[in-house]
Amino acid sequence: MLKRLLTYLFITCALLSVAHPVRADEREEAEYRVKAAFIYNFAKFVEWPVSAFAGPDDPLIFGVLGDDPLIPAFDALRGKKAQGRAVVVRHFSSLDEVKVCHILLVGRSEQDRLEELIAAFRGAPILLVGDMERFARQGGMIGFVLDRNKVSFDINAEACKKARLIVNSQLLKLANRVY
Amino acid sequence: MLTRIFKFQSIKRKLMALTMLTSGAVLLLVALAFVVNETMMFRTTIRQELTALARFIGMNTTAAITFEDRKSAEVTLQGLEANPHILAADVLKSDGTFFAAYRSPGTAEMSPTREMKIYAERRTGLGGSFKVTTPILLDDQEIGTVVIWASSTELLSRLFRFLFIVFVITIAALIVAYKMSTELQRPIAEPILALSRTMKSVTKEKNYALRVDKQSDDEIGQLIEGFNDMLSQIQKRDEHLEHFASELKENNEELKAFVYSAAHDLRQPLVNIKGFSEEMVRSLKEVQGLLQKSGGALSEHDRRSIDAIFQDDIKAASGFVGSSVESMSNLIDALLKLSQVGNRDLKPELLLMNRLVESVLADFAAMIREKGATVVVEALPDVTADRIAIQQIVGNILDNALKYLVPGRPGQVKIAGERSGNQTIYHIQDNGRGIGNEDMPKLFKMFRRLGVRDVRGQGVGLAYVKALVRRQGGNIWCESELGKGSVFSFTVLQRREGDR
Repeated sequence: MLKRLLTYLFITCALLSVAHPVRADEREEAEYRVKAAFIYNFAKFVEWPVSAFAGPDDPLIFGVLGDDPLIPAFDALRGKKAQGRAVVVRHFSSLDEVKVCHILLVGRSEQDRLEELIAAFRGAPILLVGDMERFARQGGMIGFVLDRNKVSFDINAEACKKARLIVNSQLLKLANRVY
Repeated sequence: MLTRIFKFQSIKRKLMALTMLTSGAVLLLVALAFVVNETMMFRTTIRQELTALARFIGMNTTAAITFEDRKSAEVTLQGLEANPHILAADVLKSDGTFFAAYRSPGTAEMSPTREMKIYAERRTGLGGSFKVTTPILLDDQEIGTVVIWASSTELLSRLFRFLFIVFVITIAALIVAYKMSTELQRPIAEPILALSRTMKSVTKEKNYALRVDKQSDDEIGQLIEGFNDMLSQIQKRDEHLEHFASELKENNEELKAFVYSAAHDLRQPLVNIKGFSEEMVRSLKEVQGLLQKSGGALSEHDRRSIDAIFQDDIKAASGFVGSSVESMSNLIDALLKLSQVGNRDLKPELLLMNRLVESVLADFAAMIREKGATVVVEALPDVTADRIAIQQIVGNILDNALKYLVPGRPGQVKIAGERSGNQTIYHIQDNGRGIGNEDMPKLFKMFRRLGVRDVRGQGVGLAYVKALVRRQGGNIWCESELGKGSVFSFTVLQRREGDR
């Protein structure tokens, strides 16, 4: 874990030295904004089962479980529209609080009890997104990765299928890895 | 120009040319309309196809644009390679900035849209190049644009293929039209050609018995009918002419024979006159000789001789001369009478025949009594004809019948009549000596007197009768058996109302 963090830091530093002189936090902020935008765009390429909504005017609920550096950028999605529905952002502090939700950003704070968490959502039509290493591989649905300094993502197609979520093939094509 | 070329062609050619030119012109116009329509349609079709392609690319690059994955978009665009007519394609983002591109081999190095545009515009063949732009939509939002440039070579190749098909069809249609016009011109051209052929042969052979088959009831049929009518009129006139010519010839022959026999018959009394007048001269010379010899005193013998000469020879001779002159005079009278037949105007009127015959018989009353003959008159049909002519005809035949009765046998004469078609026939039958077969042809000729010449006559009667009958359009003939009797029959044409 530490090793990975170090590599991450190293790459970031290397990039910083090569690219124009931008502060580290500024760079990170930009990255988070990109990732938040990605999550918003995922909503456009994923199809939920009809049962996931009560009606055609129901909002699309973006949930956050725990704590994550992405949250500020994520909050900014509030009020946008996707698939003709209003985007609503909700914060959950514990697993039990998560009730109706379509996309759930699993915060880094939950990394340790990931398996338990994924097992709890098994079968529910909720797109689990996580900004941590091996998130998709461990049973999450979409996990962010950096591919040659570019934000990319892995998709666990199997998990999506089990959750009755239909992922647009274009999205699968763009994915860094598909499990 | 066209009319001038046409002038010398047969109607068959003209009809075919008419059909061919008309159908050819129609075909050409239709083909032209098709080509124009298809050219426009092709443009629309190609544009539609390109639009569909652009939309498809747009749909397949939504994720790539959304997630900024140029490579993925370029892979998608690379699929355009399959269509050689596509010159280039660009994917632009919603703010107009360049995102991804496809370049065909010819445009490999041109990336900016503007440069491409100039290139594409330069490649203007027929119809120029195509440029199609479609928006890329995601969630009802325009996230970018696809621009495709395609060359017009596809349009041209499609157009040429179409033109080729149109050309082949036009040729085929013209061949069919030719075949059909060959068949269809027949009912019009054939009768006209037949008419013209017949006309030529009529002119050449002067055969007016030819007719043209009438095959239809249209104007051509009427034309042929008219032509046939004309031919039959000419034919009829020809026949009339021939008839008249032969009649004229016959009359001419008759006239010749008549002149001959008239001359012959006139000569006979002249010979007599000449002979007897010479005889008289000789007798007078004899008398003169006797007178000179006696020298004033006639001996009894001489006186008796002179007396005998005056009493017998000169008296007889002068008697013969006188009768010859009378005979000649009669002959000339008869000739004059005969010649008047043709000159006198006939005045047709309704004749009550029984009454007419009665009046004629009255003239013959003495002769009938003398011969002891009986004349029976049946009920006769009435006719409209010239009174004097009919009187003379009946009188002459009756005269002959009574003249040539067999002496010692009670004469019987019967007059009968009947109607047959448009003519009335009268028969005058006798039980006289009849006429021999060898004499029949001479019966109605001038100056011919048949059989034994024991009856007075000039041999003019029957010729005169024939002339009278013929003058009125009738005919006369005789059936006879030598020794048993004859039947003379003559016809009078029935005049209809309105006939002169």
